[in-house]
Amino acid sequence: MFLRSALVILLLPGLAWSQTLAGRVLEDHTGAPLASANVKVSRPGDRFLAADLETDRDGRFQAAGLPAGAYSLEISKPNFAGTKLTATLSSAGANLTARLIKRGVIAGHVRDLQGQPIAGAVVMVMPKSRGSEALRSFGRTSTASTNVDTRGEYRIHNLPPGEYVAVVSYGASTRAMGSSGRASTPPNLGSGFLFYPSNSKPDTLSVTGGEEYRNIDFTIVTGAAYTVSGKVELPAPNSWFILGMMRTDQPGLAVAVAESAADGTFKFTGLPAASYRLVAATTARARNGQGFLLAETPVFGFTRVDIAGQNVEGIVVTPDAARTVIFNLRNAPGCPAAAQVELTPLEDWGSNLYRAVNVAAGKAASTSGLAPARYALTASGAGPVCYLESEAILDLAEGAPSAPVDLVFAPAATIRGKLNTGTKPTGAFAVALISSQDATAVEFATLDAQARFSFTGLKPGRYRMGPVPAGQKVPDIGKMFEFEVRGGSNAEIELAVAAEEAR
Amino acid sequence: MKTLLLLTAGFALAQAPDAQVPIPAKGSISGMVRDFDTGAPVAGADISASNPPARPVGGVTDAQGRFTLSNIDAGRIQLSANAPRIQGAGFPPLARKFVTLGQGQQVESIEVQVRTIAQISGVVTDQNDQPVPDISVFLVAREYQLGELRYIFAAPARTDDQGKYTLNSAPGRTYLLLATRSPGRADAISSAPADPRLRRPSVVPTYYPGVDTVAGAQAITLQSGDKRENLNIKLQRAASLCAEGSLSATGAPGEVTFNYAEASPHSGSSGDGGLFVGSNSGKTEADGKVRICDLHPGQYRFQVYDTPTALGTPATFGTGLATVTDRDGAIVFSSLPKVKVPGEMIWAEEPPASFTIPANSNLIISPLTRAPFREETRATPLQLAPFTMDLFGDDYTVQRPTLPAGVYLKDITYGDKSVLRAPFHPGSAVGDAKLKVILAHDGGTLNAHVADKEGKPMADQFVILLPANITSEVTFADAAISGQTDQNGSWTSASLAPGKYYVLASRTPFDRTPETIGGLWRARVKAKDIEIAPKARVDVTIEPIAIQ
Repeated sequence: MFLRSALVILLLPGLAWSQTLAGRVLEDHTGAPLASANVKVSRPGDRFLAADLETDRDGRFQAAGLPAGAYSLEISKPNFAGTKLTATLSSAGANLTARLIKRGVIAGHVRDLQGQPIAGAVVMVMPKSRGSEALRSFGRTSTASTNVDTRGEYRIHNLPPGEYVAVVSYGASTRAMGSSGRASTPPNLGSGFLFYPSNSKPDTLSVTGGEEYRNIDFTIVTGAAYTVSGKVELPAPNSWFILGMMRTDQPGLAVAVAESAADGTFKFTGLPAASYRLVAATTARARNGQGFLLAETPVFGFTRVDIAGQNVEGIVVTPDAARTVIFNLRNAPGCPAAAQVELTPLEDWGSNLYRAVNVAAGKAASTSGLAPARYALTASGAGPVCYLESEAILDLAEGAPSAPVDLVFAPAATIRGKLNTGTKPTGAFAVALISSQDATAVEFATLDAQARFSFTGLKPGRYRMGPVPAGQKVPDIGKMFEFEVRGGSNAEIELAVAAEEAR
Repeated sequence: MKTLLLLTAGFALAQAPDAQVPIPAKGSISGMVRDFDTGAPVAGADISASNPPARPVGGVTDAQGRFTLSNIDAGRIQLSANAPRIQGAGFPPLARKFVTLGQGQQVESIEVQVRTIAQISGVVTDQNDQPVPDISVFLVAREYQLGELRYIFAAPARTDDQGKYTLNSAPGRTYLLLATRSPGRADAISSAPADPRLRRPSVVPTYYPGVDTVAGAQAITLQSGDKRENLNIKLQRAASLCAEGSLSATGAPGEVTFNYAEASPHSGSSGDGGLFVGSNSGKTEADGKVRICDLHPGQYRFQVYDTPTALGTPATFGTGLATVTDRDGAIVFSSLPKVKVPGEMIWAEEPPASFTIPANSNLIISPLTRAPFREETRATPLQLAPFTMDLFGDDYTVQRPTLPAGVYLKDITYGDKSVLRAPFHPGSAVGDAKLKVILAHDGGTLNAHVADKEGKPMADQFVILLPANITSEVTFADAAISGQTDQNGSWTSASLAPGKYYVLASRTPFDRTPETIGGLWRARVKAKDIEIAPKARVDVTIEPIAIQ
C-alpha cells in the first residue's frame, strides 16, 4: 500500500501562446508557489531532454520554441515527493500546474536533567509497522536517523507520509558500536534508549504532507545503573561475539551492545534495572552503521538476565548452532512464480541479522545461518497483481519449524470506478482510499477525462473510500463509506460528489 | 613494595658486588593543560609523552587541568595533548610540546596549551533566496606546496533540508569557505537538452560570501572554541555546457572509467591532515563515447582509467586539465600505461666509512591531488642498490625519508630537476630519467637557544631556518627547516647542508599558509645570518620576533 506521490491538475488549454510550454509548481498543502523546483521535460523516444528547467520565485517555469506534440514532465524538489505528468503541446501552447507534497520533519533537542546537550546520541525515527508489532528493530528498515550535535539539536527530514515514533539511543548503542567499533558509556549517563515522550507511552507522529514537528525534545533522566558481566563459552578459539542486552518488553532496540574479549569474557556497564534478554552472535569483526556483520557460519546464544538493584556477575552464555528454515513458494494462478523474501529482524542483536532469500515455486529454498530471533517476512516481486498472504512473522527463538514454511502469493484486488463531479471539472476532485486496519495507508487516485479512477494491488480487508477536493491531504473519514474488499476481486464503484460541493 | 625493593638490591649486590650496572632511573613530567586563547585550565584533556623505544605514556588531566606522566626514559620527549573529544564534533587539534628530560628527573610546572575545536555554521541559498539542501561546504586551506600556492579541501559539511551546514574545524588557521554541488554519478551520455538555452544554469563553486573566484573570497580565521554563525553563502550560477567526445584506454576504443572536478581546490594534505573529496564519476559507452554536461566555464581536471576488475589499481591511467569556454566543446583523451622509473640512492661525495639505513626508512611517493589507488603507492625501502618503481603519469609528492644522525638529504632529482620543491611527474624527465636520492654526510648542526631580552630561556618557540639561496616566497615553504624549543629554550637541528642560512624564532607555529610564509618572508631582514661549515656545530642565541 502506498501513497500516490502528488495530485496533479491539468488545465488544457490554458492561457498560452504559440509553442510555449509553461506552468507553475505549488506546494500541495498551502498552495504557495514553489521556487527552485526542477522540471525535466522530455518527448517520448528522444535521447535528450527537450528542456531542463527551474522554477522562479513565483513557482513559474517556461520553455519556448518547442515543437508541438506529446511531452512528459518530471517535477522534483528536495524534501518534496516528486511527480510526473504528461501534456500535449498544441499550437496554442500548454499551461500546467503541479502540486508537490512536502515530506515531514521531526526535530528537537536531547539533553540531560541539567539541560546539558547529549552530543553524539542517535535519534531514530521508526515507522510503525502493521499488525501487533509496535516497532520494527533498528535494522534494515526505512529508519531515518541522525546524531545529536554539540548544541544538543537534531533534525530528521525528508520523511515520507506515514506514522512514526521517535527514539533516542545513547551510550553503547548498536549504531555507535557499528559506526565507531567502540562503545563508550559515560558513567553519568549510562546506556539505553528513550522513546518520545516516554518508553511506556510513545507518541505517534503522523506525517501526511508538510508536517514539521519542531519540539520533539528528549530529557534523559539517569537512575541507578548496574553492570552485567560473564563469559561466552567459545565454540572455537578466535571466536568473537557481539552481545546485546534487550529489554524483554522492547526488543526492538538494544539497551547496550558489547564485544567479547579473546577469552570470551564480556562486560556491560550503565544498565538500568529491568528484565533483559542477553543475546550473542559470532561476528566477522566487520561492521557498518547497522551493526556488526555476522561470521560466515554464525553461532548464536541467548539467556535471560534480571537486574534488580545490584550488579550481575558470572553469566554464562552457551552458544548454539544457527537455525535453518526451508521456504516453499505457493503461488496462486496468475501470481509470480519467483520472488525475493526479506527477513527483517524484530530484535536488535547488535549484529546485522537481515537476510534476503530468493524463492521459486516448486523449489524448496533452504536458508541456514538464522538467529534464534523473531523476523518479519516480506516479499518483493509479488505486486501489483498479488500480495503475500501467509503469516508475516517468523519466530525462531524456540527453534526452527520442522516443516517447510509456506509463502503464499494470493491475487490482489482491483477497484475501478467513476466519480460524478456535477458541474465541476474532473480536475477539481480526487478519490481517496484508506485501509480500515491501517489508517496511515492513504491512497489517492486522480480522475481521467471520463472521470474514471482505479486502485490496484489491494490486500483483502475493510476500506473506506470517498471523493476529496484536489489538494486536500487529509480526507474526512466521516464522509467516506466503508466496504469489504475480497481477495482477488474486481469491483466497479460509482461515486458522486455531495450536491453542495458539486456546484 | 618495600620488601621487593630490598630483595632486588640484595640480588644485584650478590651478582656483581664491585661492578654495579645501574638501571637507568625513569623520570616524570607534570604540569597543566590550558586553553591556548583563554588560558583557562582544561579538564579531561588527553596527554601523552613519547618514550621511544617503549610505548608512549598517556594520561588525562584532572578537574583542575593537572597531569603527571611518569616512568619516562631520559631524552627529548614530545608531549602531545588535545582538548577532550566531544562526540560528533570531529577531532580536536593536537598540540605538541618538547621537554628535555634527564635521567630520573622530575620535570614540573610544564604548561601545554591546547585549542578547542571551532564551529562555523550558515545557510546556503540560491538566486531565488531559497535554501539549497545537499550542497557540500568545505573549508579550503591555502598552502604553498611544491612551488605553487594551492587551494586544498579541508573540513567538509553538507547542507540539510533548510540549507544549513555546520562545520567543525581545527582553530588557529585561516581558511576560505566554499559551497559546491556534491559530486555524483555521471551518465556516459548526459540527457541535458541539446539547446543550451533550455538547460538549467550550472552551480558554480562559490566562496563565502558569494563569489566564484578566490580573489573576492573572504578569509576566515578561527580561534579556539569559536562558534561563528550566519556565514551564509549565495550560490553563483553560470551557463550549463556540454563536452562531447571519446575517452579511451591507451588509444584503444572501449569502456573506460572517468571522473572530473574543478581543477581548484583539489584533494590532498594540508596542515595536520588531509581530505580526499570524490569527483563526478562514471563509465563511458562501450565504444568510449561520452557526453558530459552541467559544466560551467572554467578549468576542470579530468581523469580516465581502464575499469579495474577488482578494487585494485587500474593498468592504465590518464589525467589532464580541460578548459570549458562559453560554449559546448569536444573532449578526446586517453589513458596510458604505467611508467617505469628507475631509481637509486647515491652519495654526493665519498661514501662514509660506515652507514646503516634505518629499518623504517622508506621512499614514500603519493599522488598530489587525488587519493591513491589501492596499493598504488607502496613504500619503497631505502637501499643502496638500484630499484624500479611503476607509476602513472601524474603529479606526485616525494616524502623526505628518515635518515640516520650525521646524514642529510641533499636532494631528490628526476631528469636533473629537483622534486623536493616541484611535483614529481613520472615520464616528464628530460635528461637522466632516474629518480636519484642524493645523500651527504658533510653536514653541520645548529644549536639554537631562544631567550628574551633579559636572557630568560623561552619554551615553545619555533626556530625557522631558511637557506640564503632561496629567492622567492613560493619556494620558501618547501625549503624552510623548523623546530620547536624545549622548556630550556633549546632546539638542536638534525644534520644540515653546509651553507648560509637566515635563522629566526617566533611564537607563531611554522606552517605553509600565505599568512605565515608572507610574514616570515618579510621578517627575514630581521633574521640572523649564520654560516654552517661542513661538520661544524654552530651555537646561536635568538630573541623571538613577532610575525605579522
